[in-house]
Amino acid sequence: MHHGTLCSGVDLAEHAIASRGLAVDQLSRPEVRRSHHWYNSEFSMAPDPQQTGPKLPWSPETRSWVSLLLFVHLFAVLVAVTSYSRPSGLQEQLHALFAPYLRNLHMTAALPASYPFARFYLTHNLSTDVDFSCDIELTEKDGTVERVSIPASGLWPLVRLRRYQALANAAGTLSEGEANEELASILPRAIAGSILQAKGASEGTVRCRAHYLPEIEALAGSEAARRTALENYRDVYQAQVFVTSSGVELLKKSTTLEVAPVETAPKRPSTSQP
Amino acid sequence: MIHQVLDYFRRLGGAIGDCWTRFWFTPSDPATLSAIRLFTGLVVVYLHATLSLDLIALFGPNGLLPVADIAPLESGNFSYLNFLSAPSELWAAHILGLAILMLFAVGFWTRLTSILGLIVFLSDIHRAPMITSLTEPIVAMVMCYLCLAPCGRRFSLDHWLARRAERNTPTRMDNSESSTSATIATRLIQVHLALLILMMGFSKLSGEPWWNGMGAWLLIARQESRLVDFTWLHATPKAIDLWTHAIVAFELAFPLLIWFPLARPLLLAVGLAIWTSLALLTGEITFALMLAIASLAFVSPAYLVACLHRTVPAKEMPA
Repeated sequence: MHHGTLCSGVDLAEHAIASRGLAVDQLSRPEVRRSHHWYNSEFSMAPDPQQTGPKLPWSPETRSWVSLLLFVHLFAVLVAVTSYSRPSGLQEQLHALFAPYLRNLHMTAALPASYPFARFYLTHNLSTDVDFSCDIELTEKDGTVERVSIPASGLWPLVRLRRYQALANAAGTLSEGEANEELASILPRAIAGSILQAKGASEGTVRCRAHYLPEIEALAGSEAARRTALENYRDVYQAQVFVTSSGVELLKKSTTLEVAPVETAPKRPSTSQP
Repeated sequence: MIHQVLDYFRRLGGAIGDCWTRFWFTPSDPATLSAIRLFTGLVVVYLHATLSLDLIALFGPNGLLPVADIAPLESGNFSYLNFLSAPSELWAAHILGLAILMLFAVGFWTRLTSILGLIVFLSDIHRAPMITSLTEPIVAMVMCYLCLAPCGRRFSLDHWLARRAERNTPTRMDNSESSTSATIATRLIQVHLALLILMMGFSKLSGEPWWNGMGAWLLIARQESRLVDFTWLHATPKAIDLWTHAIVAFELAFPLLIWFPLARPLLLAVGLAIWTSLALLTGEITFALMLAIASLAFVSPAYLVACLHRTVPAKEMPA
């Protein structure tokens, strides 16, 4: 008996029969064929007229209640997955109804702010859907300038790199649109404030950079064109960061190179990072 | 005429009810769920254990993601980590969580550890959703459904201990081991996975890169994310087109054809190739792994048990 395929019904029936302690050669072929049908209909939607099936253990009342719960749950899941991109007004209302349930089970992408978490399942994948990095430049007490990047290179295992990349992507995506200054500043301030305090610095610069994608045609060009295409970076957010007695202050540098105050966060405890 | 219409709808309702009942409530062996539990448990242990390396740097009192600062980006979902900030508290909770997840993976007190494991995993996610990836929604979905069923009945420490205790009463693979809740959990994983993949396919149809063949290129070109550099494929754009169309075609075909038993082995094999290619393109190894693990829900318990019988010496096989 070979085991090379998942769906060889007779083989599987023989396995199942053998596991019940019966020799295959003791059985007639019709029995094996019935087992074949049983296997084929086991996880299929279509009813099998030859299947008698085991007795259902739950009472009809229990099955009715469980069916109702299953229906409601699956309806909520359906609303969640179909509301991901371009939901209608009705979908939005239904999603709002189920959102607490779905969010607590992590079955929906809807969050107060849209950041790369919402890229899940690689659905959009537009040319503007790029990776970011967050660079923090700080002057240490001895006057040396240090640069800390998120994600740092060489992180191992790979899932750590993914986490820091996701954090940088969240910070970059939120700050790129400039739609909501308050939301845009949350992650750069948290990241920069943490790093400055850990390094004992009181001032620094935080910069979020987008790494835009190369055009496929550019890679076929000269070496210079190829290098230019591959190193297509652009700063999408830049701010001065100050750690003061009142907390972490952020002065955002706008795209027109003007400096405008954003907000101040309360100072966190100055416990050093391990 | 009205009687005929009413009779039609009565028969239609009865047929749908019969199908629904058979689909959800026919008892099945929990072998498939047990295998999913084992593999999912290993992935969750890996995710949680690797968080140890950055636990304080991320969640500590002076960490990158203070609870109060990032609150506007979250939804107020429950996480016990939101109430912990001192390093000692964080470490105690983290190690306890790791122990629970390891017990879940090996299948010890599985009914309890599956629920506790889900709480641990969701707390990790809800503490800082901005550092999660594509993997976590799949893991959360699978773990949630595993809580509903006796997923520790096979391939588990629970099973081994039970057999050891009843050495003189050999276990049999018969209907006494079948469970309706196992069927419900398996069906939920199947339906939810099919819906997710269908959504992936439908959403791609709304994006131009997946129509003009550039979808795969936009993944290849992301230098920070990809696992393998496939930019050399720029010389053969038709290969990129083919890759793009294959991903979309599979994501549209899988949710529909997976219900046909004859198509199932083919789709699972092609799915393995597609998920592997996506892992190479995006670097999302655990995401691809979880999709493959969740796809196990479409494998018959009889097949898994048959595989076990093939690998276990005859004297160890149940009678």
